[in-house]
Amino acid sequence: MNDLRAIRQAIAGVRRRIRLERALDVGVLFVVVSLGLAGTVLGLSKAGFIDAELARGWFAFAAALPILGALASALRPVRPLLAAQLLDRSHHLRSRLASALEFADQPPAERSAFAEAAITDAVRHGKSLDPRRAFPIRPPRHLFAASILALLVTGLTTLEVPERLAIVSPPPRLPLLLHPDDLDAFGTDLDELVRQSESSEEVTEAAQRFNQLIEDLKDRRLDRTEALRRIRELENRMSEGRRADAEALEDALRQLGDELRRSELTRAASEALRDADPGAAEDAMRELAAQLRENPPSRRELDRLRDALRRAAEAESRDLSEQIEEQRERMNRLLQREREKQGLNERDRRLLNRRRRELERLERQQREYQEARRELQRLQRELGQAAEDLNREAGGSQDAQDAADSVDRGADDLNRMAREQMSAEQMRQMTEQLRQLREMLRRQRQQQAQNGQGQQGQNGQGQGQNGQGQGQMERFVLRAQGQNGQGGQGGTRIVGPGQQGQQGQQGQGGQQGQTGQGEGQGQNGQGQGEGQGERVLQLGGQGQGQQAILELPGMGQGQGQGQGQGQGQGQNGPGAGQGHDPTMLDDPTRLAGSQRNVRVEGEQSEGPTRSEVILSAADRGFANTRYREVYTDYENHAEEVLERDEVPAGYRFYVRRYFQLIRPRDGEASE
Amino acid sequence: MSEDTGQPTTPEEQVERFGEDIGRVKAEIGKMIVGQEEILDGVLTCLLSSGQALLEGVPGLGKTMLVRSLADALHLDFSRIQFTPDLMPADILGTTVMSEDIGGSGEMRLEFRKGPIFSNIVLADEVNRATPKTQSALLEAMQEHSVTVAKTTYKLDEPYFVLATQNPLEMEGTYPLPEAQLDRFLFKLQVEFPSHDDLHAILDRTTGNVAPEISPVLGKEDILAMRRVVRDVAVARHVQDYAIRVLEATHPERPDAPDKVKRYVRFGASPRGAQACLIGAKVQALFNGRFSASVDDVRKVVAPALRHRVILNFEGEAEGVTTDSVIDEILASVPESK
Repeated sequence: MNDLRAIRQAIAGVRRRIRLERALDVGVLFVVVSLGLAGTVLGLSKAGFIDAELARGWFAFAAALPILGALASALRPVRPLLAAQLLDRSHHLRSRLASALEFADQPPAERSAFAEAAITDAVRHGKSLDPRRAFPIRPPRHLFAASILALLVTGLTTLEVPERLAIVSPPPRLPLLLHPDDLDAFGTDLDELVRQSESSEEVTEAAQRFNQLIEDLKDRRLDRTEALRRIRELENRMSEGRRADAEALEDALRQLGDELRRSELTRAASEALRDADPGAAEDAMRELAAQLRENPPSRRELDRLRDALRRAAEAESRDLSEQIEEQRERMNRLLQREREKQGLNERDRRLLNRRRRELERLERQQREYQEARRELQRLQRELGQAAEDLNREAGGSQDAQDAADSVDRGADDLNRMAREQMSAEQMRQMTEQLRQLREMLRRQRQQQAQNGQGQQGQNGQGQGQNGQGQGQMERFVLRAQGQNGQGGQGGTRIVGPGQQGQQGQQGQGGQQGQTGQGEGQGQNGQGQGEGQGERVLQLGGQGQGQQAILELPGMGQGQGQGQGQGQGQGQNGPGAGQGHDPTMLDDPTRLAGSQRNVRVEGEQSEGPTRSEVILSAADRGFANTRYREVYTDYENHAEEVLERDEVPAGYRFYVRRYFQLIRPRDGEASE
Repeated sequence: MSEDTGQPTTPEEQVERFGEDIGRVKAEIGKMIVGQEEILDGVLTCLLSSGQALLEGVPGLGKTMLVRSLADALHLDFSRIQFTPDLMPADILGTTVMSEDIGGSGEMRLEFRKGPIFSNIVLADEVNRATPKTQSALLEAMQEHSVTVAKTTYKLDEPYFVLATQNPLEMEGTYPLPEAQLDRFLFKLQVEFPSHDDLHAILDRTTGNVAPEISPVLGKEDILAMRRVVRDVAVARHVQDYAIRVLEATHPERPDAPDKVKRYVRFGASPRGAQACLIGAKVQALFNGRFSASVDDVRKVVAPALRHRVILNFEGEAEGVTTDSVIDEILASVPESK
């Protein structure tokens, strides 16, 4: 057996080489994997996606991977027979070594003579075995890839990634989104106020501030809080600038008009003052002054005039001091009772609070009235002077002239009062618009609160509240532009009759659809039930492709499908839509009665001419009144109804908003 | 070397003697036969393995001459039977005839006259031209080395060796050997057309006035002793395992069979195929002076040992696939060791 030692050594050498090559192959393969892993981790670490501690763990794992792989491969057993066969093949021994190895493993007693001879033969041939010849170690198969990857990773390690500095930005202010059309409605009215030359400086300044607020909202420079703060500031400024309560002034003028009714000469001025129209009263007073200068009336008429003027000059204002004293007395009694009983019950406490508020109201009203009185006292002084001039009998025509001058000055006072009244009216209009604007902002916030969650899915989580708000506004805009919306229930479609539009003569705020559209414009009406019921009112624009949508919460129940099938468009659609609303189709009516077929022979004739058809069509149904006039009539009527009837405050807003949306635009002025 | 008999006793001597004897036989045959070393090796392998050989080749390639030369080189009886369609079994086995004891009592008696099959070397020329009935008469002789006629069994003289030839071209009027009979041939040797140089040598030897003479160099006992030596050759387990795996690979139902086998083979080789491979490998080892068979020895004899045992399917026949190409695929796919 000792003779086989050389063969076994050679076989062992071959086995070692096999293991070494396996270890190198697997090791380099795992080096490729490790380099890939290390490069990825390195990149992520440099980019800051993983921290250094975690990266070190991955690097350690990547470093251990090739070693573990190589060890596992090296420890895998290699059969001696395989090594012997490799030696046989490489040394052209025709299985001598492999066979001899097997024979040698058999018990000697079981070996045949030929087996022994085979062993001897193998020993004789196996003296110069070379394991390197039997198994030359090749370079690892993945060495090239590993080298390339190693270079890449090395390059990656030298790559310096600039450190990312976290820029702390202030929380973004969420812009307040209002539709441009709404803002245009405010802007149009303000422009008219600013353009009026007769407006007072205060009104002009307030209008400019209001206009600036609208511009800021258009440019989305304001959030809700800031917008409300500006509105409040503007309201305070307007209330401070108001000198007197217009209502108190009107009361005083009416009282003055009542006194002037006593003379025939001041009848016209009296009527104007009783109508609280200082302008008309001024005209009447100037006519009176001219009459006194040019055509002095009779003495009797002058006496009546003097008496009327004197009474007017002496007219006492409605004094509220008695009521104030009475309220104060009641309060004192309540306070006395409180001191006596060491406390009031709940009912008395409420009563005391009500008295206190009433007292404050009366004192405020008295102050405003006194303010109005100061405006009026100047007029009364002029009227008194005129009465004294007429009272001087000796003066004759000169006295009449003086009286005329005094009446003229009174007319001047009335003129000033008229201007102040006009300013007050303009201030009132602006206050009303500010109130509407505030109401609109408040409504918008409420709608966001109601619909914001539903819109969140469309606008993505990342946009937060801004996205919700945008979603609401976008939905509104889409509807206003006549886009196909989501089908829903509970909506009512109101499509107003459109008029033949012009060929894009005058655009409206950059909106499209100026090619003119015909009847109804083919808008797809859509109900937006959404579980809370909305009524969507759509109105065909006046040939401008615009339509307005007004949503009334809670009023859309049971109105059927709102999804129209027509090809509606609000922008460039050519005329009426196609198709029909499938909900309008129902089972055909089943007539119980018998039927009879009747054949009617047609009459062959030339028929009406085209002009006749057009004329007959124009006679029926086509509008012949300007829209602005119709609008004004309807809006005034609606305002009267709102003032007269008990309409809930929320619905007042929507009615006014409705008329705001259907208001005639600049391009429709001639229609 | 045994002093009494002069026969070699140690394996080394036996192998050495074997090699010398084979060398002498080859040298004698080489006087007549040019080239065809592989065919000669195959025929000798069959002779020394106690098997039969089937030679297939077109006419004129020297098949009959090879067998005749072999018989001349050995001190053995030789018979040649030309198989024809009208050849009857009795024509090859022998027949019983009435004969008179002329010199004696003059009685008439039945006497069995042995046919040509009763020889040490039998050449069944164009064996596929005889009817199956006559072909089957060879079955017992080839397998059992005995002949039974009229309930009397006659043992054939050893060494008994049958060489059959057939022509692959002329299929008209032939009776292809059935698979069972083919399986009884140890090797199927395909005689190839001689090379250009060999043709020169053939022409030189056969067109002159001098005819080469072949002298017998081995006798019966020598052949039988060589057969015993062949059986003594050692075979390692991994070599035997290789032969078995090659055999298994010829079966299309085996999962590790090559695709070509699965596609074109109808039946794989029988276990006789593995026996043929292994015994042939032993002879090859002795030819090369080794004491144990190697994997290469097995690989060398796989083709002649299995080519007539692998049955192609219709698709293989239709596409002209040869069994040799299937065996080459098997040898390429079966590894030397598991």
